[in-house]
Amino acid sequence: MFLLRLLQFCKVFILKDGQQTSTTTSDAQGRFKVTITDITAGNYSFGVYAEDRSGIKSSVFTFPAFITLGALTKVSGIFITPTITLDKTSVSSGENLTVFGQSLPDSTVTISFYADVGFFRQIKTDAMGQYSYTVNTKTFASKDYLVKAKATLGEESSSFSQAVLFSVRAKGVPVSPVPVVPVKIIKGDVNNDGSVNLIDFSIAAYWYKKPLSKQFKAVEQERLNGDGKIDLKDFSIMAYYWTG
Amino acid sequence: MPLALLLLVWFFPTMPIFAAQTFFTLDQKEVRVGNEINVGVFLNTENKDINAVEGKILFPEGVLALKQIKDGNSILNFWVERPVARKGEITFSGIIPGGYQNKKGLIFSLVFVPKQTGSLSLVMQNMHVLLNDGNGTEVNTTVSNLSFVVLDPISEKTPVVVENKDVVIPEVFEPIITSDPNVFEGKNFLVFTTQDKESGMDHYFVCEGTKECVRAESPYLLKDQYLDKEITVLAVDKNGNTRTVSLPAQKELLWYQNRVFVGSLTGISLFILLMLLRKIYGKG
Repeated sequence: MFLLRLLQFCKVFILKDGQQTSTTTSDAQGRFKVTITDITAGNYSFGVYAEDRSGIKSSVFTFPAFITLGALTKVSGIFITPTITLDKTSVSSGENLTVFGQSLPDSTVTISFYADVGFFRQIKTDAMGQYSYTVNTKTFASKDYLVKAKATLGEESSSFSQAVLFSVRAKGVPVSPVPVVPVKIIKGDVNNDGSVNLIDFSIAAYWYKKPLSKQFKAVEQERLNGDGKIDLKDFSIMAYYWTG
Repeated sequence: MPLALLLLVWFFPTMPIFAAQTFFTLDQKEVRVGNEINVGVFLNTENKDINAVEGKILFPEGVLALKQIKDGNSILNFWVERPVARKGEITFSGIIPGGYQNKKGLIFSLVFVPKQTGSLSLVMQNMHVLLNDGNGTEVNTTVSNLSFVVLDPISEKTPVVVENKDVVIPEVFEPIITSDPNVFEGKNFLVFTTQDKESGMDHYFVCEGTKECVRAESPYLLKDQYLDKEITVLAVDKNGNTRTVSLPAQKELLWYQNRVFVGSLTGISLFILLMLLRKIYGKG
């Protein structure tokens, strides 16, 4: 049984040993309850993540649990990371960039920007749990930046979300067109279906210790570690971005 | 300057680098010829969040018979290379989606039977542990090998063997039919995996329609690319317990592909023709 805190009125996904086993919806306080039956005794790795109203997924929170035969194992007190996305992946110096996402209503979201050094900004979520922060990049050096977020409500705090990447380019350097849909993390998603799961693992396993085709080399370059081969490092990257 | 540097090195030795650690445990206090021993292979992440492990275990197969590899309760959820023994070497590789932190995470356990007395060792080689950081960063890993002494059997006593028979079938799972231009030239294939928390998974069979079931690994290239037959996957653990899962045909048969229908139609047509011919020639 799970009793956790995450986003308000969001779809919740439960993973058992890396594979989706249940889905449900959180309530107005971001709480949900799921009971998993038909499970044998033993060590398990459970994961929980949420998908917000914009379709952005939070990081997966994983934890080990030993299930005892005939006993009810209750898991509680876990605070899921906020969802996070950007309105652009590339900006010219001086342009605005907006970071937005969702967490619990009336919580404090700490947004961390990082290149060689980092800085933080804090904002409050609204009554629906949504947050949005716009930064002007005129003081940003021309380089790649990572941005991530965590949420705090009272004494409770989540860990940081997965980081999303954006680039600041000098004025006059062409930038990528503004995406119509929010930017989604795609590392590990080798079949480009929006999820990182057993299918991606099987596709990578097909190429494990084999010379890559020209087409799959391009996929490996974009979605994995780009060294031209499939080895444990690629599977590790996949494991980090796993959605089940 | 060189003197100052030398003093700096002498008085400020390198701080210890906290590394992950892999180690063995041995359940038995006394190891005797002919008696089973259980050796656990464990990982201590040293407070680091890790998500991938690979390596090799070496054992003296001439004097130490490997009876079983138990990977059912492993912390590794997905095996890139499931642990298999070949000529005294057990190679393995796997991942933990979402990461893992613990002082004593079981990778798998080994059941051996010593065949002669003496000092024996189990050695870990080429161990790699990767961080759950999205980059596949490798963490420093220290290994602790295992050495033990095998004693003569106690012949006057018949050892009491308590066997807990594993009757638990593998976990529920859902095979997926999919295709990708980069796999099997874009043809339909099947992906599947499950866990067994007792003895561990051993193998799978795939059955397409009425065809003979074949031993299979994921990803599996489907012979029937029309997807008009039921597909059944049998997951078998190391004690032979089996879970069977079926996927219905994804597409309906076209009328001319249905052998029963075509056969019946042909039979009825021939019967009608025969009756007509009898009527015509019977009158004449």
